[in-house]
Formats: sequence, structure tokens, C-alpha cells
Amino acid sequence: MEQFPLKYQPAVPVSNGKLAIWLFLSTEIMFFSALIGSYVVYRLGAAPGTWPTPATMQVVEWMGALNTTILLASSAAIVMALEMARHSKARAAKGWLVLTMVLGIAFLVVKGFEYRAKFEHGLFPDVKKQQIFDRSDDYYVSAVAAALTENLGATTLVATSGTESLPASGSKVVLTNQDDPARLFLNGIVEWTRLELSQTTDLSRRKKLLDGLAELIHSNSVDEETQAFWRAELESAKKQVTEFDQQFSQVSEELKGTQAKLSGLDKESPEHKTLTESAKVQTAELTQLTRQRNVLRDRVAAIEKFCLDRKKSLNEQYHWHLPMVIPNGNLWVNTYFMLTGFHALHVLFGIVAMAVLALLSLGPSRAGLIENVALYWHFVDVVWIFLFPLIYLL
Amino acid sequence: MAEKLQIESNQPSHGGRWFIVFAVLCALTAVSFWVANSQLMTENRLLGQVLMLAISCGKALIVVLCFMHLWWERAWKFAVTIPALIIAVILTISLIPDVGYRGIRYSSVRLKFAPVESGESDNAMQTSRAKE
Repeated sequence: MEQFPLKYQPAVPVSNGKLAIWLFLSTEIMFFSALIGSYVVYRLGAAPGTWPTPATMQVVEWMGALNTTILLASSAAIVMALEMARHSKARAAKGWLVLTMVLGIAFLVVKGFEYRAKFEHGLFPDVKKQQIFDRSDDYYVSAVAAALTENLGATTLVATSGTESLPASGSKVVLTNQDDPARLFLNGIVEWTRLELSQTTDLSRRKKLLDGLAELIHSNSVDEETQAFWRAELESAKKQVTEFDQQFSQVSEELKGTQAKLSGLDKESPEHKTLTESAKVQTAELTQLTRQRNVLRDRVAAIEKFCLDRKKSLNEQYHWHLPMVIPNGNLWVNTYFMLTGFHALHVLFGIVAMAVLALLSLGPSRAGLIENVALYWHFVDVVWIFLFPLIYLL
Repeated sequence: MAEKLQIESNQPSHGGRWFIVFAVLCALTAVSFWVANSQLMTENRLLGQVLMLAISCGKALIVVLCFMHLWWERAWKFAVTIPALIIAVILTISLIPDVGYRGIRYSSVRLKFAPVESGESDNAMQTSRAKE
């Protein structure tokens, strides 16, 4: 025994701290590959052509490229900090470390701008109120109507017409929605679409109505086919307005005649009774006609205002935040915020670690500590290297 | 302490080299940015995507080998990284049956709420949908 003195022989030729940080990083590899892997598998498993494009989701390529460069520069800076510390240049080491921190903060600032753009456009996971719909259907139209009435205070004609009393015959339009775009849109497009959907069983027409509405709200591009659809809708609405006008004048003439007859009759006579009854019926008919005609006039005005020759989506133009139809949009925002959110948290922790490190004197004795923080920081960089093409470019 | 320093001093100490590595990484970023905006993405999208991911793998490898000094480390580096990488790959592959194939083989519930109807479903599922 005495011939072989016991000597400490490390199992792994690195310091405990470095081994610990590497073991931590190996768990991080699994953590992030689970997140990135599920994003990739979700994306590949989506029906062809339904994964949202970067433009739809307010993803700006150059911002991603800028952030990539920032993180790469910060990685290079922390390598220099370690290099300087090893060569006993404590002040220079601190300078490089502070530069790394500043670059890390710059990364988060750019990220903040990106997140703001998404929140402004309603592109975030929302449990309470669904903002993103996978397809346009009856539920979607109801959600749009609900958003217009609840958030923008728009009222439907159906709701107001209950208390509305029609003045004497031949009156002008009682209700006009044309001052308030939200009200006009609700009555001229949304409620109209709802009514049409409840009446038509023609599947292709249903699809056109639903897709037309969804495109108005969210899409910035206008295609020729939907423009033709809206022009046809406008024509038919105008035609119906003239028909209603004719009916209206006809009924109001009848009512005038009835009233003229009534004025010349004795109030007690049986003929007076029947005429009063028919006057009542005619007035009710006029009320009904006015209501329908107003709806149609709103329809015409709304199509002219919102659907023809538009440059932007309505959400963009009026800042309405109405529910949108983005196939796989919810999946996209969930994976996006999960991935970039966890990455941003890691950046934040890295900055905190560097801030603590910056309080110390960074001589050669601290080189091991700097290296551990640097290893973590490089790993955060590696994660972003994969996130950049996956989210911004592909 | 002297022993420890000796262990860790088997790494190069050329400040200027790190900037060359940094420049290469930036150049690779520029290349993938260029690929994303080039004609390749309209002509052969798959090739462009594979190319960009390959560039990413290359960049990640450069960062890990140079900046994280893994190139100069002893064999323990394999013990720490390779099992984690294997599990990472298995984790991802294990998602494919349920998640990745969801567009190919629909359950009746998925078929009902799918963004766009596509793929084929079991006959049993189709009949269950017909009943609805």
C-alpha cells in the first residue's frame, strides 16, 4: 500500500463547474429539441399549403437576420472576454463582457418590437376570446358580429328596429348606419351574410360569402375573383333596392287612398272599421318594407365602401381587431411564442448572469466562471441559429 | 489550481481568430438570407429549405466547435453531447405518428374541425361522419 500513494485522479479532465454546465446544457439540448421538433412536426403534418406564411403572421425577415447577427456578435464578444481574462487583462475582459450584455439587451429590444407588431394585429394565443379561426364558418360570422357589437358598440338594425316607430307614410330612411363604419359593416356585410347563410343551401355560394367576409377582414391582397363576386353582389342589391322602392311607393299610394277614403266616412260605419284594419296592415307592410330597404341600402353602401377597390384589410384600415381566418394560425402563434418566448427567457437569464459576473474583478482566477457563462450564452446562440430559418425564412 | 490551469490551457489563444469565425458565421447568415429571397424558393422550394437548414447546422457546428471550444476538449465531450442528441432525435421522431400524420389520417373530430379537408380517413370514420 505504501508503495502506491493515493493520488486524486479526476474522472473527467475538466473543472466541476464546467462539467456541471455541460450536463445542464445537455438537458437544454433535449428541452429545445422537444420544442423545435414539435414545431417542425406540426408544420410538416399540416395539410399542404395551409401553414401560415411569414407575411401573414407579421414576421419580418430582416429583423430576424438582424437579431441573428446581434447574437453572433455577442457570442464573439464573450469569447474575447474569456480570452482577455486568461491573459490577465481584467479591464478589457470587463469591457467585452459589458458589450455582450448590451448586445443581449439589443436582441431583446428587437424581439420586443416584433412581439408588439404581433399583439397589435391580434396574433397571440388567447384563451378567453378566440381571435384566430381555422376556417370561415357560421361560428366565425357569429364571432365577428359579437366582436363588432361588444367591442365597437355597433348595433344591428334588428335590435334597434324593435323600438323604432315609423312616422307617417312616405317617410324618409329612418335609420342610417352610414356615419359609423362599424355599424355599416355589421349591418351591410356581417348580418347580411348571416341572413343569407341561414337561407341558402348552395354550398358554393355559402363558401363565397364566408370566404369573402374573411378576406375583407384580414387579407391585404385582393384577388380578381372575389372582386367579381362583390360586383355581382352590388348589382343584385341595387336591383333589389329599386324593386323595394317600387313596392314601397305602391303600398304608400294604397295607404294614401285608404286614408283619403277614411276621412270621408262616418267613424261608426262598418266600412270605416275594415278600412282602418287595412290601413293598419298597410302601415305594418310599409314598416317592414322600410326596414328591408334600409338593410339593402346599407348593403349597397357597405359593398361600395368596404369591398370594392380596397387597398388594405379592414382590421388594418380601421384597427378593429376583428376575428381573423388563418388556417393553422392558432397552432402557429402557440408554437411561435413557446419557442421564441423560452429562448428570450434564456437570453434574459444570460444577461442577469453576466450582470452578476460584471460586478467581480475578471482576472485569470475567474476565467473558469466566465467560461461557464460563455458556454451557456453560446448555447442560446445555437438555439437561435436554428430558430431563424425555421420561423423567418422557410 | 496550477494543475487545473494546465488542463485548460490546451486551447488556442489567438484573439484575431475569433473574429474570422465571427465573419464566417455572418457570411453564412447572409447566404441563407439570400437563399430565402432568391429564385430558388419559387423554383425548387424543398432544395432551398434543405439548403437553409444545412447552413444552420453548419453554423451551429462552428459555434459549438470553436466558440464553445469543443474541438479542443477530450473524449468526455462525446459522453455529454451524444446521448442528449440521440434522445433529442427520438423525442422528435416519437411525435410523428400522432402529430405528424394528423393531416393524412384524420380522426372524426379532426375531420370536423380541420382547417382544410384533406387526406384520407378510415372507412369507419367516414361512415361516422356520414351519420353526423
